[in-house]
Amino acid sequence: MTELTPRLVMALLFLPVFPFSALFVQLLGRRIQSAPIRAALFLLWPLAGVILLGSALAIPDWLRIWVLLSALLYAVRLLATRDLRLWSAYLGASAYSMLWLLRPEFTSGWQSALSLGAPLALMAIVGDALEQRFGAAYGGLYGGLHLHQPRLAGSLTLTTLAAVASPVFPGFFVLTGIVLHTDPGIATGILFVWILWTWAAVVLLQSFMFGRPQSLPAVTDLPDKSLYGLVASLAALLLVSLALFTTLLQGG
Amino acid sequence: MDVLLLLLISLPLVSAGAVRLAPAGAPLRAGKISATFSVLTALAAAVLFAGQLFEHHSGAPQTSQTLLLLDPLGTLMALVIAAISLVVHIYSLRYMAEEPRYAHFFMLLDLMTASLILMVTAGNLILLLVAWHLIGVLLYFLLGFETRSRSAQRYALWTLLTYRLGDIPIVIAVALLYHAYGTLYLPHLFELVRDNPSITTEGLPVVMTASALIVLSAFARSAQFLLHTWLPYTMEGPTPVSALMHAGIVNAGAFIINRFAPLFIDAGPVLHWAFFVGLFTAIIGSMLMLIQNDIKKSLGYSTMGQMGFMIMECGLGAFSLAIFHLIAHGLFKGTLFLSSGSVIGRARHSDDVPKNSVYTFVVERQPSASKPSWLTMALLTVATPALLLGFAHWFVSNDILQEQGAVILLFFGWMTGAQLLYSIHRMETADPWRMIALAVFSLLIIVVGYTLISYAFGVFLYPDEAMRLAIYHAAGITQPFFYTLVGLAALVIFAGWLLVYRSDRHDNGPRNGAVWLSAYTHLSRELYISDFYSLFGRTLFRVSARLNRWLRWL
Repeated sequence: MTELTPRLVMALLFLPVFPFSALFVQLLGRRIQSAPIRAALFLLWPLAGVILLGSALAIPDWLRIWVLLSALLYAVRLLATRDLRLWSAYLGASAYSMLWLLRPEFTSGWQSALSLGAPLALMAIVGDALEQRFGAAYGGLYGGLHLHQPRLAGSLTLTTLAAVASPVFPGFFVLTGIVLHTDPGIATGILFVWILWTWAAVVLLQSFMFGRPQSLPAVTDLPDKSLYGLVASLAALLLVSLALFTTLLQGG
Repeated sequence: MDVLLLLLISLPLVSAGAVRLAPAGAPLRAGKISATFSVLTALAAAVLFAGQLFEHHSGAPQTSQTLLLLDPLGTLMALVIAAISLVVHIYSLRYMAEEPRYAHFFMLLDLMTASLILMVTAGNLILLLVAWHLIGVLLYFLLGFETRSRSAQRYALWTLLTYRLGDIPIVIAVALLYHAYGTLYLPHLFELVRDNPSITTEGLPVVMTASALIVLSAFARSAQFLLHTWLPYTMEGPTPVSALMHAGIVNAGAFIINRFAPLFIDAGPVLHWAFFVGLFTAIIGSMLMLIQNDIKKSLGYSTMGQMGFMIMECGLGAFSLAIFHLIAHGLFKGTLFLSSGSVIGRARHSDDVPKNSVYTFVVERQPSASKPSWLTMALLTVATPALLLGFAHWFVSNDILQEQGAVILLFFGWMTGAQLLYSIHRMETADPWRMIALAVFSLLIIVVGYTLISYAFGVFLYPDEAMRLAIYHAAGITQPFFYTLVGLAALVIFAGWLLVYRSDRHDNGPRNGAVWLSAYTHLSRELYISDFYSLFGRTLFRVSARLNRWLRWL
């Protein structure tokens, strides 16, 4: 059994595994209100994790199963979650824990952490835009977002797709890379977690787009500056995808 | 050719970008831009296909790059996709004109076309996975385009989840193949498999396991039994999307099996499995189709039945025939859906049932002048298809009866032909002999055409005859089992005919019995499979909510 060194315990916090994930979920899902701080933490948290983990640490089998179960737990919890903040925190807990399964000799740790963290950082910003306009970023409170605020709806859709590792976003290549370099049992588990993410993402998006459009006075859509910023960030993510795709091919 | 191949994939992507950037005040312009690009895409695909036809091909890829593949299968499928996409684009120009997100629809349609073409031309396993996965995501947005309809959204989600479920086996298959052979480039992989097909990983035979996983993915994509429920329910999406899905996207199962054809030479049992699943799907799909009263849902179950036949053909080793079936079905089902959309549109504007010559012929039956005797008709229905099929196949290849798969297909064609002629005999008409003559003539054209074209497809897709024979051989079973199976199938079909004949003669016959009513009840509930999936989904949501309550601090 691998000894729980301080470094390993710290890594368990930063690549959050249940119940160590409590800190991450409380901070990013409930406590921190500021969107820029949440966005920065979404980026830095897994980076700290992969740095702590390094490349030399051998992961025992029991820990691999534990991180997979933890990822599965948070993926299931995503299904019934409607609050965008909590949703992104649960997704982060599920996604970042899978970085334990990464093989750094095949896939770059920091690139993978960035690929999974950046869409969540963007979600924090989009969520903040929703909160500013409607008072809360909560699915089911108002409907028809795509009809009245198409830019906001488009941004929410694209960032959510990126966050749940849909192609052609980099998360897809990170998960494919992990699956490609692990054994079939773990790969199957990862893929089931991936399906639950997709399911939860669609349910979340539907809760924002469906239902009766809110009858409040017209709410402004995303301004040009914010939209261009989001589009530029998503375009940068596509470049990261290209890098990861090339790495995968070299691995093959 | 490399440039043209890149152009083929880029054109729909450029179109999607152009449509997105089109002025917001002129959405109709977006549709025209998209349609123009789809014409160009179809032209590029046609040129590539023509190039493939005229070049001497040896089965090896004719491209200098390692990401894309220029082979007969890819170019043929790209042409089919581009052609169906073109028809759907042109139809949608007016059909979708009243939609508030008209330009958005065309952008999604273009992205879907690009993904489909990428899937069929991908020469690299990762790129294939990207396209395979992306199609599910884009289909979700297309099927759920009508955001005011909750059921459209619900079933779009079902489709996405089934597609994602189908992604799992193919991703694991790719991982297994990569581990075993160390390459992601398809032609190289096939060479390595040919040289060493018996590699094992952790005690598992890699080729057999990967083949089984690929077939499992094909089952999900092509709506095979137990993974079929998404298909008939996705009718609230726009009609052009239904046409695109039923004509093209759902056929991915046969494509992926064909794409990995060299693996199946060493995976005979997997082909047998595909045969039985396909057969069962064809039967269940046909039965469920018969009890539908909604035209689009009925067409949905019809597609399920056809997909069953297609997978069954793969299971028999008739890979190229499955591709021919895919194209033939795609063309007629696409036009059927577009027509059904028009019929529904007309019906919404008029209280009358639409009447035309077909309606008058089928519904307002003409009284019969004189019908041929039952014995004459029985002989005619049984003998004519057998003679036509035998002659047509002998013309193509006189040793075709050596292959079990070919025998089963001939047997199937014979039974279907007889069933067709019998159905026509039952129709009321003033001049039955004229109709029978026309039916026999039509059957002749269909049988000869089907035989010749399917043979040509075989030669085009798999120029290496040894490979064609190897796949047929892999699909073979032991002789006693084979003859028992054929005999059993003949008995079941014959019993079915007798039952139909008897129930026709006695209107209050067995159809009112308890067994029939019970069967009808269960079938009308579609065998409770979708109910089971809904129950599973609801249970999982309850578990999720309960976990969130219990673990609110964690």
